Amino acid sequence: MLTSRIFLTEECLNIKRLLDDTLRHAYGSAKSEEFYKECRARLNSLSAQVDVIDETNLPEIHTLAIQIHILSDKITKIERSHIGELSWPFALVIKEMALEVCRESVAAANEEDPLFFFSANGGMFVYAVSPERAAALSRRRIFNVVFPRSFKYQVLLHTILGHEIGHVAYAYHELKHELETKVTSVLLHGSPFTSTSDFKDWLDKTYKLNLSDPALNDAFARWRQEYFCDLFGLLIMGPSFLPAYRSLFHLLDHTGSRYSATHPPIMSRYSMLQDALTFLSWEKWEGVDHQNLRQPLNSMYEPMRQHVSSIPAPMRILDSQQVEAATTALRDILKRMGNTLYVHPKPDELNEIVSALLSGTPAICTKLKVTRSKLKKRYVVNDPIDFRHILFAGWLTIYHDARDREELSLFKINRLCDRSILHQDAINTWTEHFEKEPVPKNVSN
Amino acid sequence: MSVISSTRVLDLIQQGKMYLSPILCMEQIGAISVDLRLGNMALLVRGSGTSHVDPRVYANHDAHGTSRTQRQKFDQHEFMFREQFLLHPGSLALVPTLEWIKLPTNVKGVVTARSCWAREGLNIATANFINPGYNGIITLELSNLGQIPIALFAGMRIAQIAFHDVTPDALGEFAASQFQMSFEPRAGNIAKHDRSFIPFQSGNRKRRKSKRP
Repeated sequence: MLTSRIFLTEECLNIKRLLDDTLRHAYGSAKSEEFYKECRARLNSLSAQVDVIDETNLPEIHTLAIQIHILSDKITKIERSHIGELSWPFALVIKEMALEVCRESVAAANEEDPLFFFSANGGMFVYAVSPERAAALSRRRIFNVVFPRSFKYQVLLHTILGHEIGHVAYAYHELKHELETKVTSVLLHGSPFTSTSDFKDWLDKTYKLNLSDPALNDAFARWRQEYFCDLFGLLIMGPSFLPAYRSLFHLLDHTGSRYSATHPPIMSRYSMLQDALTFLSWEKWEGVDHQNLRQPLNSMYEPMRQHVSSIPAPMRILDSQQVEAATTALRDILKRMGNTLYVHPKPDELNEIVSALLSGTPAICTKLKVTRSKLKKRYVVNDPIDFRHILFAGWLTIYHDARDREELSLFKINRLCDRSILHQDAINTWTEHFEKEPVPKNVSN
Repeated sequence: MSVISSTRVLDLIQQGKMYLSPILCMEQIGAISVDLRLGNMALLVRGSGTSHVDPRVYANHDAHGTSRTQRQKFDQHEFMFREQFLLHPGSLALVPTLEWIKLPTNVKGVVTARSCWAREGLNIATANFINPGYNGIITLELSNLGQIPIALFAGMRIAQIAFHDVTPDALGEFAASQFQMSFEPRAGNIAKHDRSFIPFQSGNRKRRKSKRP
């Protein structure tokens, strides 16, 4: 007789075949062995449980079936995470950043570093990171980063993933607790999102909405996290987070007032981001005199400013002083996490990158320097460029008045930025693994 | 038309009149040439994709058919740094250079194999002129003339480019290359401007008519 237990035993064997089949592909961003071993360990654990389960214990069999289903789904997604479907230089920098965010919590939870795989999906609004909660089965968590397939080279829009990395941070209990108490609670203090009863009243007053208690609690937790993740995305990705955010969300909801069970209305989020932007002084950016930068800076921020100025008072939910306090607190936390906190480049450096992009070349421009000795020997210098500065420059190029003259389409600018990130990866690989160019002592430009 | 010494090439780069980047070390610069590195992609001819190269496919107005044939002709592989890519004997691969290049309108480039690789059987095919004013990656047509596969890694120096003066400037009077501002290798159009000699459409129509009762 084909019992449920025998069926699951057979399915475990099917998944074993599926897992072996994944070895045919160069999937994930390298390190396929680690994915294989992790999934194999999970499968072995599930198979062992299926072998000894009581045929009559239907609830437990159901639980195992769900876990086997989830594992099968994950292996299939990993198998499909084909490197050719996404911009892998960008994927690498995102993975590094997410690992920096996790690292402290991983150590605290006595876990190994999580595994990240990148997959493409259909649709424009599918950016996501699916964080895995710690499970008894797993030795390592596996996070799936999802890009829109059609945006393979639209790296300027990919800055939206800064928001999603915020969800990764929330997946770790230790870090979540600190972020909740030091950032989210401060950010939302005095707002309707302080308690579920205040939230319930606000929903009723604003939307004439009366949710059941489970739905209310769920929306309360999710909305709070969304505000936090917006601020997180801004602080780790820098100014280029804003135009990407606005480009996508304006298409998703041009009124800005719609809400869902998982996401608060966009207008209230715009308002919060504008407050943070003002506090960070990124709009004014004292000392930037280059017309090459000033004009596109103004043009880039203007649509957001106009948008926010039209937001009605009821949608300006968060207090600007609370936004400032939360921004300060989050910056302090991010400073602990390697290079995750975005820091502005020097205006001259940014100006050089914008000029390079405007002339239709990538941002990485090898410099030649000359020794001051009599021999006047030349040597090369490749100053490292943070990928976020490349993206910032990319957005400024899009908003630059000279772009049309240079016939630079959005596609070309995105691809030049993508190429720049690739070049930086080449320089990093060279520096990390190969003999370094000896630097003469007496050097002039 | 004279070969430009690397001293002048470096001057042009330093003055911002030529773009060639990234240059990772001075060992890349020879007396009259600059070494080029393998980029991170390869288009490999798919044996099952097409039966033969046929100019009629390129001259066809049928966008779907042309595009499908061109796309199915090659398998596209992307590989990261320090990942291996094998080139088998007799196979052809279109690969990009790692470097991006932007030439002034009075300089042309000539790409050849590096002799150390040529001695291992790696051939960099003959379409090696880079037009004045070109801006983009350079596509290399690699083939393995030896008897055993060759392992290649992105970032390795496999080709070299020499530069020549062009007088007077070559901008404006002539059509820009069909590959201007390439980001990755792709097949060219072998039938472009030669449609007069490709008798594909009328032949098809005549055959169809003759089948009618």
